Amino acid sequence: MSDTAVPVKSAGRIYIIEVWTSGLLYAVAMWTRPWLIAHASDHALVVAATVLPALPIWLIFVAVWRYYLHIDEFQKHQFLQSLAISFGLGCSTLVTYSFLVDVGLPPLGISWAWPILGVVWLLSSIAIKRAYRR
Amino acid sequence: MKNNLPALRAQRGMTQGDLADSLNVSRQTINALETGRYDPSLPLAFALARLFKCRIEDIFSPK
Repeated sequence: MSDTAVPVKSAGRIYIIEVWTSGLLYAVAMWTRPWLIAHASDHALVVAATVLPALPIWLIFVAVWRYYLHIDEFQKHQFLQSLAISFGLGCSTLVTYSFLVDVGLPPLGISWAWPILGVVWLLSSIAIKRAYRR
Repeated sequence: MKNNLPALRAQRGMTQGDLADSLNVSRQTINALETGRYDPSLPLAFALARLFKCRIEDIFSPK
């Protein structure tokens, strides 16, 4: 059973709308950021424009948390399994890559961590759903 | 655990979707319960027992 009054059926739809809206805001923030930085009149505004794309990333985190609150217990079970697997795989991948930088691979910026973890999480979610469908 | 959810559901002419809507869970959750791939929490087991007007042990039993 879900812990909230939101029907479980709606949880996925609400989640997709919130994540896509956040993604759209991220794209707009990344697109307008150079202009905002160039035209900012003081240092505080430059800092605000610089971190602007981080705000939609926080909104994605909020969307994920809200999704977790709206889903039922079996979905939570799958959600946490995929999150645990993706955390382990994602961190191991990033650490392995950081060692390979020592032998000539180009260094990755910290901003790559979120997309890499996101892709690994998506793949582990698909794998977990398929495992329970068998 | 074993369960006789499919039989209880069929007796009442309910689909997996109907049962899922009654309990505010997904149809996939009902499917996972019926096929024994997922064991419910106590609150969900009690909700099922209340819905079918029986005891939890009338629905679920150890393998």
